[in-house]
Amino acid sequence: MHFSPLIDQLMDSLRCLPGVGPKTAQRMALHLLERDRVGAERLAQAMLKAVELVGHCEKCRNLSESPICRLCESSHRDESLLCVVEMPADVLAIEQTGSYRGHYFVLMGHLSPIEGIGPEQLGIAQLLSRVRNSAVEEIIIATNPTVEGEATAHYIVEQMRALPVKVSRIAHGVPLGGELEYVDGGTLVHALSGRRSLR
Amino acid sequence: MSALISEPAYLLHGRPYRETSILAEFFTSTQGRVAILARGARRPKSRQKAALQPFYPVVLSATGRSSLKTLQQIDLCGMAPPLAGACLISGLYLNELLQRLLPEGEPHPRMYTVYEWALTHLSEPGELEPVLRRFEKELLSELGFAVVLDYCVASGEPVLAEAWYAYHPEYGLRPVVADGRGTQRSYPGAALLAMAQDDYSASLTRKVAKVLLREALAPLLGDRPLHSRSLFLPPPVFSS
Ligand SMILES: [Zn+2]
Repeated sequence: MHFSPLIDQLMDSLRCLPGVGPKTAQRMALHLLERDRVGAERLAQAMLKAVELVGHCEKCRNLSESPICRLCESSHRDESLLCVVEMPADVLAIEQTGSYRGHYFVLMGHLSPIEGIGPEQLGIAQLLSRVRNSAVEEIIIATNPTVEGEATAHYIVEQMRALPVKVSRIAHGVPLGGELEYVDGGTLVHALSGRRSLR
Repeated sequence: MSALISEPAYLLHGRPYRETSILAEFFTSTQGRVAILARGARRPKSRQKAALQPFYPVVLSATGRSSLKTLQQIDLCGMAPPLAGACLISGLYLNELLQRLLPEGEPHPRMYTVYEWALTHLSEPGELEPVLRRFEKELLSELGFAVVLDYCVASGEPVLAEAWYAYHPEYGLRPVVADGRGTQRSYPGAALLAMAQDDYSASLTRKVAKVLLREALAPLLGDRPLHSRSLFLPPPVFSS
């Protein structure tokens, strides 16, 4: 059924959210209008403000509303380490482990020739100049263990060949607590080829 | 186009679709390039994800007669060739070529064999360039634009090792007087004859082949550049 044009428009707009289909959009719209108009207004304003003011950090390219993000400005981080990741969500995932104290560089994707995503879109030139003009000693490349992630890692390594920094790649293989029997073939192949010697 | 049953294939490219799915393009052994939707393949526990990687040989089944099929099952059926570094980028180049130039749903079983051959030989020492050139050459002839290298199509005259030739995508090779000043690119006959035999042992042949095949592919690619080519550019030189 159709509601009035404004309600239809609201439902339609809500569907741009991940995981929101027509049914959920309808429930959300009716909830906001019937039960929580104050919440609706807050939501609308927060969205407008965020869209208007959140850009990318000039140093690490992560989402930030100030030209330099808090993480990059922090004096408690290790200046000598730089971790290169694909997406902002990867920064969050690593931060949640609490085991990394260095800085980040967010590519906002991976090399994908077919999609037309190349070094320019990933800010590789910016990454290089960051490494050249800072105290970074080691780059940890933490792109995803996919073919495109590997290609991206390789490309970055090649581009940094002339720079006096250590470049490492995160290890990947069998998940912690995983049983070999249930690990997919591709992961096993990767784990085998990335084996390390014990003695 | 019909349903695919236990079809050997390679993923050319996959892109996220909606919240949890992947819209994949496969190069299949009997139906050529086919678009297939893998529902739920991006869910954290999906077992299809590992098989949805380029360069891994898979066997898949998909339903639907339309141009977009639905993936039913997919299994890895062997190891991916050990592509790393420059070979990996070259692999992406092959995929981009196929994705751009093969018409959807048109069977190319011969090209499928060539692709499989190329993937397994790319990483052999010293083989990178010869494999890429043979692949490009085969792809051109598969699409009906074969580059004739041992005679001039217009005149029927054989190509001579000591003469120089210019190439035109439509009219093929034509002898020219090479004085190094001409506006047109010219190629030495000896390199063309070596190319005809797929003998890329001489570095001159490799150079000629690269430029000539690029010239031959250009009209098919139109004005949209191949993005993977830019990934072969050497790293910047830093002045200290
Ligand atoms: Zn930052």
